Amino acid sequence: LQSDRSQPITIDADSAERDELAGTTTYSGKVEMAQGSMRINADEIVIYNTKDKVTKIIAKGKPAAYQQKPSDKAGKVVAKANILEYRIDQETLRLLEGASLQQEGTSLSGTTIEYDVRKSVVKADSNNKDSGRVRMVIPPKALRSELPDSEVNDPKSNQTNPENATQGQLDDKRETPNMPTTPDQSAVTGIDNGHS
Amino acid sequence: MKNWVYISLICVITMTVVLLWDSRPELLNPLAKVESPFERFPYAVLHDARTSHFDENGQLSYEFDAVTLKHFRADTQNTSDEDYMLITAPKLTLYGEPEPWFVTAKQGKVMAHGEKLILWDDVEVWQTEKDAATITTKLSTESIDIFPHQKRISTDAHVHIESSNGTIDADGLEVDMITQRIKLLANVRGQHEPIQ
Repeated sequence: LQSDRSQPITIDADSAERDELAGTTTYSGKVEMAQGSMRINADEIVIYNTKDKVTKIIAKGKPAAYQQKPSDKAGKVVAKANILEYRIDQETLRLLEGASLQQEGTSLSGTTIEYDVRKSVVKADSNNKDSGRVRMVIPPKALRSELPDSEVNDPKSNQTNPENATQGQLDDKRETPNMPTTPDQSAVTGIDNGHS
Repeated sequence: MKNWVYISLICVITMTVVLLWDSRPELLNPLAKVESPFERFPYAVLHDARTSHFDENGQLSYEFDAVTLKHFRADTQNTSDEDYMLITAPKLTLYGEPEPWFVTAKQGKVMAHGEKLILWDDVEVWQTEKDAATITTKLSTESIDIFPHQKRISTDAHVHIESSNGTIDADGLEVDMITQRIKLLANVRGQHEPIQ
């Protein structure tokens, strides 16, 4: 939610270590973090702070999980990766190693995903070596709610073929307003934040 | 003849009483707990005492003030490793980098020739900025062990830590004043203030 960023951050863990010189606090063991509607669950969370405020949070797990409601009307965004880097000042979330992000059936996966929480824009990249390319799945319901009625009954445009999605070359007719086409190693899409 | 018996009986009883009169209590009641010198009386008592303690290199390691300081000796004639001091209202300054640590409590005990201090009852530990006024980290607990020459503090008790970027509660802690690291051992709950 918009108000999340001004909420205090609470964290529960088995143990912790504060390094005064480095300005970090490392929480370990079944770590649960909350800030308003945002939640992170991980094996380890490191809090970086300058002077008196938290600037960056790095969560590690197998995988670490993040979830947040972009707005009251929008569905929950759920993201997973081995490493989550949440920059509070820029309100960006970077997912590294086995990254995936979902919202109400729409899902995106790749090697890395960058989610701009403020703009509700997601950018996915794949290094194509080990984990395959970017894969996006858009359920028919989501597609049908986006497309004009005339297109709804056109069999050709009925469902996105995942194969096309991984190449990032979507059929022009089915282009949804906030999903421009991109080269096949990455995809940029928007998250339903309840305003569009 | 009868009279002689009575007279000798009286003499025996009188001698027994006289002999036992001066003997040590343990003979009379071996089970009774014998008070060691510790319990009986302090070897010396100081009021409004200030003591300065130096490490093996002659560096000032720590100082403490105490309203009363009672010095107890295991052997009233010689010092021994078991000697200790009971202190009331101790105010401790532990010198270290970058800034000293300050400790106060209601009660305390100095052991092993000052190698170890145990403080209890409203214990507070804090560190300040260079101006010696702005507190950077403040810790409160019910009891604490201090190893001044090793610059180490530890406790199993519940601790509450306040610092410029939030608060942390935990059960048990270890502070290394040299590396400026605070380890929190169990049941950690942190609360941090985000960027506004």
